[in-house]
Amino acid sequence: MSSTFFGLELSRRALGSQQAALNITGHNISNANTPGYSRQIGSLTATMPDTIPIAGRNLSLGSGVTLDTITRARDAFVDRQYRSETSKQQYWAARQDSLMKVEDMVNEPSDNSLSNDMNQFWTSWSDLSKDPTNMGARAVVRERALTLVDSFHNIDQQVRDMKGNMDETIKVQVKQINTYGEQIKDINDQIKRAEVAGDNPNDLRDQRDFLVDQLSKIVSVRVVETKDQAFTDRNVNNYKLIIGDDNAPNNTLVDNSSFRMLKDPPPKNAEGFYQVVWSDDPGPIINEVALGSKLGTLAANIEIRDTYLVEFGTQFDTLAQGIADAINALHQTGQGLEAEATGINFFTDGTVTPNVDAQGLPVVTAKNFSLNFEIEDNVNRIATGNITMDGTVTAGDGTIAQGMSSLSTGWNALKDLIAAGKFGAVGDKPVSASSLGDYYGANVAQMGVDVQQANRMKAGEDVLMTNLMNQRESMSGVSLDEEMTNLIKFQKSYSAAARMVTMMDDMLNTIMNMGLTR
Amino acid sequence: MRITNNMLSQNLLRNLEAAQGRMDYLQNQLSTGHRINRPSDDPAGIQNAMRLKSNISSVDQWKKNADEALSYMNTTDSTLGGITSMLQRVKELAVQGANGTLAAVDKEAVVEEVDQISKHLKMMANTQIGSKYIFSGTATDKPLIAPDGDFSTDINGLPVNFEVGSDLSLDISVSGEKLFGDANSGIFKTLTDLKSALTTNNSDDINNALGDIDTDIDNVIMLRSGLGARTNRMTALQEQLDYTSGNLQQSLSSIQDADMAKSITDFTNSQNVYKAALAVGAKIIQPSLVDFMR
Repeated sequence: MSSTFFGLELSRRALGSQQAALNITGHNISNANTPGYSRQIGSLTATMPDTIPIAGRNLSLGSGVTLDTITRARDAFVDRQYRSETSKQQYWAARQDSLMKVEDMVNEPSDNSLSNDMNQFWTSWSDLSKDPTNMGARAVVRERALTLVDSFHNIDQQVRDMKGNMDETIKVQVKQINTYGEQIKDINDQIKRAEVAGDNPNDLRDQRDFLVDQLSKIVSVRVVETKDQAFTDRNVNNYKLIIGDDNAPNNTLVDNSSFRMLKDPPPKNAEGFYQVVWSDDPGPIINEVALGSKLGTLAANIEIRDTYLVEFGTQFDTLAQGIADAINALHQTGQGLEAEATGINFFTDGTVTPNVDAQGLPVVTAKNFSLNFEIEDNVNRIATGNITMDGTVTAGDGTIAQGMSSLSTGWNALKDLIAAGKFGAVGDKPVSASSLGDYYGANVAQMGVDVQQANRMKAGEDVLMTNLMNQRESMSGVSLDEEMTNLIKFQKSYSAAARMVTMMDDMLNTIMNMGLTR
Repeated sequence: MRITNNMLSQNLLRNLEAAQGRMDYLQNQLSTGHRINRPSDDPAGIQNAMRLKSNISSVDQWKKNADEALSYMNTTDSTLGGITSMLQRVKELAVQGANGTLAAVDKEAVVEEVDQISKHLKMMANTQIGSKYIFSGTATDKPLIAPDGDFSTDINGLPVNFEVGSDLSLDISVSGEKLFGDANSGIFKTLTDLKSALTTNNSDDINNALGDIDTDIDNVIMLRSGLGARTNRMTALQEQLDYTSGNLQQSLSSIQDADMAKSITDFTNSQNVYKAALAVGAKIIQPSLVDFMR
């Protein structure tokens, strides 16, 4: 037979449990907009029943309710997918972002672009060819040439600046990874302590997952969670976080309560750029951390800095060299209005005695591409006609200037020089394209294709991310309607339990007043 | 699938952003009038567009060159016309002078006129367009006839070429050497011979000079018709370049210009989508169970 106060005790448990459930609901509502929060579910279970013997057999008499566990609604599988897609999406997002900046650099198609400068440069030669004695036309050629070299310098500078910016970003990202790693290690400690005490630290787990989500934007992450064999009676886990390439021998960032740092500040390579290296790397050889292929913003930034921008810059070096070679080769065969000034270069590397290749053509890059200062000082030295045999000047001869102008459409003007081997090997020069403008056009088109690819990949990944975010939200997100319904449900139960206490009170009153006579 | 409030607002936001992005893209097309505003809009198209722009810039330059060439050639042509009529006058004078009955005074007048014409022709031989001597070959800064009245040694008979096409240059000049000959033959020699023949009144010499004048006139006419033929060709080229330029502009336009009708329709469409998304959003986000509980 159960005790007289059994009912009171049962109601008290009910009141407590319903109140706890109400608090959980309140917690959910409060955190409806907290990033990384997963809704929590209190699981109410019936308490161990009392066994009462009645009429020679045992009956289980229900003893009420208790709050058994508070769990979070979370799907580890979706988490894994979410993080791997985040890494992919962020890779393409970072790449898209950088490539669009590169796209802005060339500013094609517009009237303020390199192609326009080139076109104007060619036509200024044609104008000069009609009247080589015209000082105005000479000055225009000089100005167009200066504009052209300035455009090259400008693009080169922008490429350099962008590399520098990416480098700084990479340094900051290394710091970020370290910070995340350290925070995750700290939370690991707290979670483990709670778990050992038998607790289920939902909010700490949410925090840790959120940090890992954030980290997955920078590098790809892999979480390995295993049961701690030291504890058999409760649920205690080991938490290991691996970043970067899955197949790399050792890329563990956090293992339980140990945290492995990336070297900060990172070491620099020969070009003076930061390299991502583990702090326990013995050196002095730089072993870069394998970050995996096309995963995370860090990998994208490193790839842009070390590969894309380098190739992009080289194209302009080649183009500058191509223009310089073509113009110089012709220019050397001509003379301007000064009989003694023959065989001079039109473009140089900006020095008084430029480095020249085997054919005597100056070696230039987009950075040092310059108009020969001899010409800048004296436009009469711009070669327009063929060199005369007797050392005089033929003022009206515009043959060379015409040749320069015809470079806009092809290489005919250089035919003889190429055949005579005075232009060097043509294989690696823009001569393989149908004209200098075409060579540049092909490069711009290639860049357009790269941006387009990044755009498409990003858009595709965005769709996947949307799906995963919805799946995750569907699982873990707080629905206010649902919480409101729960609120009413638990509130009613609470009221009912309270009513039961009142009823018990009445019942006890009845017992107390039994046998009393007035 | 369980739907949460956050999901609704996030999806709404994303859809609004997408609609706005589309509107921005179309707005950009409409305000620039160009379909290709960045290389990534159409990588294959941009290469063509750049090539066409470069072609247009060349063709426009060639057109400009052809225009200039034509005015140069027309001036040369009228100079040649002047020379022809001068020589014809000389021929008349020679015929007059050959007349044995001419009084000595009149003969002097004839000699005087031939002399004047000779001087005038020397002036014409130094005709300039701008600062360029047109009969000095490529030595355009040197007169054909030096101040002392003799042929200059600095000039040459090289063609003055104007670039009017891809690797196509046309000679726009008439060689002064071919036109006027040199100290031993040609117009000025003929005139000198005529003068001395008239002065000495040698009728054989005058007749010889008459023959030479005919040869000179034929020479000028031949050169002039050669120039005329080249002028015709230049005119044809100029028209062709005009036509080509128009064609290229049209191709460029078809590659890089936006189809306005389509863009405007698309824009209106995406505007409607945006408005609809906003309207639905306003209805979806606001209410939850909270609003209906007391």
